[in-house]
Amino acid sequence: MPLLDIRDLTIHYATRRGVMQAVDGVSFTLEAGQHLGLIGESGCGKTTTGRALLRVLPRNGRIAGGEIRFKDRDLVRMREAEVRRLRWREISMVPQSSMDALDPVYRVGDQLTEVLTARGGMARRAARERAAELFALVGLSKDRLDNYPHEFSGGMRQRAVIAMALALDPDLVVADEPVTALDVIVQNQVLRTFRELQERLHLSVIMITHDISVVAETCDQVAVMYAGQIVERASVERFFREPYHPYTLGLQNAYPNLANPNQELISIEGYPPDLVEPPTGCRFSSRCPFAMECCFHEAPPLVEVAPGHQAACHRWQEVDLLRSLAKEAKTWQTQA
Amino acid sequence: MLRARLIYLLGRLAQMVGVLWVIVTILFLIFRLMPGNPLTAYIDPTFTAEQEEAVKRQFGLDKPLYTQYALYLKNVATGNLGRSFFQKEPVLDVLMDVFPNTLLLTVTSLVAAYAFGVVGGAFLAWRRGTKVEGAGILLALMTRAAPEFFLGMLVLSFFSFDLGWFPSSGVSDPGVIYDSIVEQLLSADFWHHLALPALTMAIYLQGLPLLLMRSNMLEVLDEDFVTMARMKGLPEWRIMLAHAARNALLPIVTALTVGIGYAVGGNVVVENVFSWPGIGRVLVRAVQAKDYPLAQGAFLLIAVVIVSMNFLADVFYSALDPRVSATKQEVG
Repeated sequence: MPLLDIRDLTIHYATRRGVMQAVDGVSFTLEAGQHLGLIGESGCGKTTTGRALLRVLPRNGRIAGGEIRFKDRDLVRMREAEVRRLRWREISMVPQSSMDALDPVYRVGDQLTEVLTARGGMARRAARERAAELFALVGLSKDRLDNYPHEFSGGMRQRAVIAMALALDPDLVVADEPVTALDVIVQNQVLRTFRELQERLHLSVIMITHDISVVAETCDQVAVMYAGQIVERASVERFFREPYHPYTLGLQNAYPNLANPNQELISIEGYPPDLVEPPTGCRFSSRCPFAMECCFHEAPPLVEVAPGHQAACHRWQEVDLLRSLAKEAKTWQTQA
Repeated sequence: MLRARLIYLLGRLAQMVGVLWVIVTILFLIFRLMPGNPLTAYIDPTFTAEQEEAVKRQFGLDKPLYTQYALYLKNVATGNLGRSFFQKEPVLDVLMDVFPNTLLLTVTSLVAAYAFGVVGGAFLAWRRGTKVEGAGILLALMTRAAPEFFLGMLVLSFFSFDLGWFPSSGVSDPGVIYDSIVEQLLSADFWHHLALPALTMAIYLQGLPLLLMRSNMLEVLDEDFVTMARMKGLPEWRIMLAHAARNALLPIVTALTVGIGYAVGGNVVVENVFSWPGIGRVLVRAVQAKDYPLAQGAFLLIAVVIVSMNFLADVFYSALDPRVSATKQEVG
């Protein structure tokens, strides 16, 4: 039984223009101890999916359908009081902007102790000791427990937030762009710490990111999201070696490749579709250089293209042709 | 940290003294630049020129302006505010007789207004989008827009004349005299008299903190650390009080400094409506009677109250927001 089994998850946002289908029929599973990278550009529903796991959505958002089976219980149908008990103890989150995730008026150590006492049932003294331990775990000195968030650098805040996410030994950590706001050197340090912790504590992680180098460094599984749907799902090796979906091909072109540093970076022209009125057919069709007539009418199902590897593309059987064409910049330009 | 805060407070204290000096100077100049002689009310038309001169000399008005200014500064610094023309008593004594009444009225109504405003505003934010919130906002706006003398008259006619629950004027029942402030504070009679003027003032003052607290709360509720608190599974009351309200409170303390100004201004009106023997009432009478030393002293005392309450608000703020003294540390 997988730790997490999401089936056909659908999340709607009520907006002024109508209902936005931020997440549309997302399904994936995560085994205990796996590190899944949820990758895609901003606005594709990654963060919404992540927050749905804790059932803390923005006010105008609601889960419109599907199941989130976590340890064989459906989070979607759980009562609020029950979800509240589960939060942080079983699933925790490293939020997108650690800058603002810490309350500015309390000492960082006190914020750690708060969660340890209020949610972990620890006594103050014990919580204090545990907080120092957690700080050591993420590479912060325990002298820093008495500092306020504004006295921390960005990297330190990020580490503190990671310490907070690990405070109650959760079964699953959702890390939402944990290093995006940091500069590259600090990014590397924090990522390295995070990877070490993953292994040392046997964490199960969902890493939400738009940066495929983060995925390469911290994940063993990848799910690619586009416009609220999962378009490809594979192991990290297969994701980099044998990508299937044209969007994945485009994504890899847009990032520097260590194996081939001289390769020209090619971006995908255009913008993701409007999710208030999503297009019929494949949602990537308007930006896809390989789109055929049927792509605009009929949504491609997620099919097993190889064992443990799924992709949602009508032309997946022609993947060799697509891969070779995708390497040429002019393939992508003609779309503009 | 502690040292930084101390330096910050000392700096703030020095600033306060500077502000008071400017106020004293302006007061000195205003009364001397006003048309007419400060002594017109004092000097009888039947006085001879010599008698007039003698009176002027007695008040030091024959000396050049800078000497008068130096004397005035010295007197103010030593607490000598001169003698009231009409009450023939030292101004300081006249003012100090009534000052506790004003201070008690101001502080009671400020505390009541801000406590109510903070709790009410947080409540309205918590119930955002409901009918309760809509009605609450409407009520707050109405009471905030109503002039205080009008409010005072409504309160007076309803609670005092119609229901007869509270006395309509004064600070105590006839014949009751308090020996000390403590005794005054402990007497039910005093609080009974205080109720209506304080209620009027509080109604007048509560709109600002209430509406501000509501909008602050709404803003803070969208902050990431509140979302984070929710994700952590903290109980709702804790998210609301310890995180949302605690942060939303900061601008309220800033608003309190404005509120103090309103309160002291409001005092003058409310004290007159309820015949409350306080500084505001003394001031109005002194101005009507052209009792310059008394008016000057009353103005000065009001300024001192406003400035020192602002100082207290700042002290309070720096205790509430750890970022305040830290920024000062970087600058200084």
